[in-house]
Amino acid sequence: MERVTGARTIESRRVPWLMVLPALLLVLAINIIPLVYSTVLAFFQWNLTQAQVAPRFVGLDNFIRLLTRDPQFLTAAVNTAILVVATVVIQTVLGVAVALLLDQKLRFTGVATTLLLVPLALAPAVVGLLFSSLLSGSLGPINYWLEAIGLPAPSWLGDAHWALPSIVLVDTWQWTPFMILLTLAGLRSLSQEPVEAALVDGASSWQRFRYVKLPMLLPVLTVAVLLRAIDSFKTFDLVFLLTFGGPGTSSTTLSFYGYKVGLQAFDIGRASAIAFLMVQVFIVFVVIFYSRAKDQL
Amino acid sequence: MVRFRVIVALVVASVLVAACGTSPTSPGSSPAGSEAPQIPEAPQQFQDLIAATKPADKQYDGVEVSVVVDSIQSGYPWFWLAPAIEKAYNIKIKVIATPFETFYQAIQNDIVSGTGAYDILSYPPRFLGDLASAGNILDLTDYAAKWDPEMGDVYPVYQLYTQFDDKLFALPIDGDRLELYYRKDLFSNADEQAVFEAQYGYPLAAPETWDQYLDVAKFFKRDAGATLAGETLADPFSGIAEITKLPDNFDWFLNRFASHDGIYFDDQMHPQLDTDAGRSALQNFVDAVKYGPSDILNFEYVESFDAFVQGQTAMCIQWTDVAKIAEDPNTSKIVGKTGYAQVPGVEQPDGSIVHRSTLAYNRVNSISKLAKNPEAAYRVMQFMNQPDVSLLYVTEPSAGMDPYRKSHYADPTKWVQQWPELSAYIDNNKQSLTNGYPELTMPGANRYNEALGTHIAQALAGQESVSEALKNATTEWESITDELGRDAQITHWLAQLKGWEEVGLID
Repeated sequence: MERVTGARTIESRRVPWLMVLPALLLVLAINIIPLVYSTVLAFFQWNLTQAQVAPRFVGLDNFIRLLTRDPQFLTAAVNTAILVVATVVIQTVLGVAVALLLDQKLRFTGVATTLLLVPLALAPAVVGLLFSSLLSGSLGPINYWLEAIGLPAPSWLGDAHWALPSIVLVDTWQWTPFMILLTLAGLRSLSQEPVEAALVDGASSWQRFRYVKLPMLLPVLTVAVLLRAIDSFKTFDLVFLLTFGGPGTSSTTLSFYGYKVGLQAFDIGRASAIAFLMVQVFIVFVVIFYSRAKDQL
Repeated sequence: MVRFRVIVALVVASVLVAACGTSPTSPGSSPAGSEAPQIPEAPQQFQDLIAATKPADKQYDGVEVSVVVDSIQSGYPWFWLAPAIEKAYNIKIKVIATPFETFYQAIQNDIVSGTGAYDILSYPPRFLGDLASAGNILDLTDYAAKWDPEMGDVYPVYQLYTQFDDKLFALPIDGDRLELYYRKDLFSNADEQAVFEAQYGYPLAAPETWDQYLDVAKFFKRDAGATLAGETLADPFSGIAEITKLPDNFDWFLNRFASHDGIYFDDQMHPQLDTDAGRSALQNFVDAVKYGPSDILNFEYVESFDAFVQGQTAMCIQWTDVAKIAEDPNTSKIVGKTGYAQVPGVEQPDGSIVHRSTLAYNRVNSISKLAKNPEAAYRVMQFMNQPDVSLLYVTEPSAGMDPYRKSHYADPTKWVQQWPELSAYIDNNKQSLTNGYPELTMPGANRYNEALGTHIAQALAGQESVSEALKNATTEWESITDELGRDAQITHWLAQLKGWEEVGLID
């Protein structure tokens, strides 16, 4: 009887492992092994156009070159930081503001909420193509209307000062609805008692938001900000389609630079070093963010 | 083991890109197979050729040959002539168009990963050195001995673009060079002529020198509401359109650089970019873009020629097919208004002017080392390269290919596209060949171009000064040379120079 129970226990321990094994193997094959291999390659010099030449171990050279002798990498890092901060801040502020408006249960809020899903449903390639036409300096409708109302019409994608803000603009158009929807869901799930109590105490609508709703919303906003920051950090599609990193390198992000080095110059060692550094930055960011925000989560 | 490492490396690279977002696609182009949409119907001359094609001596029953091209447009000749090839050899053609910006990536990925999706690679010669030196394309010498590609009729410089280490690795399909196109209706307008002469002290004409080019470009740069040739402009008008973006902007620098007597390297492979020639050339390029459309710094091929044929600029330095596009009423608003000239040059002490036209992006066809039936692939390439066959697609405006054989110019009445100024266009074409300045085709050429192009783009955008851009490009070129092996690169460079000397491109 004991032997039967023991066998059953072993079997019952084995079954969960067997059930997750396919997923584990998949993660191992497409995530862990490439990550480890990429990390190893970061210490080698190897160009795939000369794939017949064996990789040469160069120690930390790829990292030293990136951090000390590669101004394009530093430009890409700064651009990425600007992009992440700008998109997350703008989209969070706009998202919360619009969500508060939609939470007022005005007419057409249902329709508006549905329409907000449209940008989210579009493929990034479609968004890129759409806005490359809309933002065209000489033929784009946006500049046409700006000029029609007497405003200056910048060269959105052809001016080094406007290219990165243009990407922020397009990203904001596409992803602010995401912040709105999450915030709206958060607002509608809030307990109404504290809000009503504040109302009875004579709190203004700003005070009710600032001191009652916002603290209760923070867990939702924290997750939303984290997700948007992760997404912005790896922005590639919009850069590729709108500016190809230019003019010059004014809108080159780390992901796009990694692509140029790895899949255009085929310098696989240096591209792996870029990916490794991105992962490290990312881990540090998440750890700091999590340690600061863990009370909210 | 090497192959295993390569495959794993490519998987890693793909994961990196996947991590960046979705797969890249390019504006205006999309991956396609043979059944790709919106391929225009073949012109009548192609139908006639198909009808006249007879079965060849040897048939390749059941064989399919795949061709990778850099855009849907450059696939047109293949789409149109596929029925003729099938009739001649019983070979089916599968055309695969990749986005222009990721074309090299597609070729390299296919070969080094061992996928072998492409039998024929139709690419610009700047990739030739990398592909041939790595053994990724096949030596065609034996096939050429058996089935003559009639290379004697091909202009010598375009023959050079098919060779590596004195062996034949490709057959040509395209012959390009950069030329100056201008709005002859505006240049011949009496009012414009009078104002220009009063302002600059010499007659308005197609600019002969780079300094004149700036004058004329500045003169024609006008805001909406200004007058141009007696008419009020509804939209801004610009002096020039040029390509300023990677991957091709360096060719627009080379026109200038070469006419200032610039050369890529010295005989020890030390870059000669940060020189008087380099600085003068890049400064002129930086100055010129001020007179282009407001978004000129985002111009690649399509944006650049489109600005000209849509009537938004007075001048355009472009590849030779743009003149054909300008005469096509389906695509152009300036039919009959285009004048042809050499790219501007530099005045010499004796008063003569040196013009140098970059001979850039002249596609050639090679057979991938992974081709499933190399002989069938060669027969397809040879068919496409025949004088009477190639004449059709190099003289048809939408095919994006240009003349590369002497016989292509022999009888202009046989051109698919006809227009009144055709003979003037052909004369200018021939002159550009005489003034030609070649692209690098040695190993690493694409990396040198990419590095130079990046710093040119930064200088044009004002992110680097002219001097900084050339210094930084020089540093990167030195680094690339060291990575590839300086001694080997010196050997390749000297061989390249020798070839150019032999065909009279350099002294």
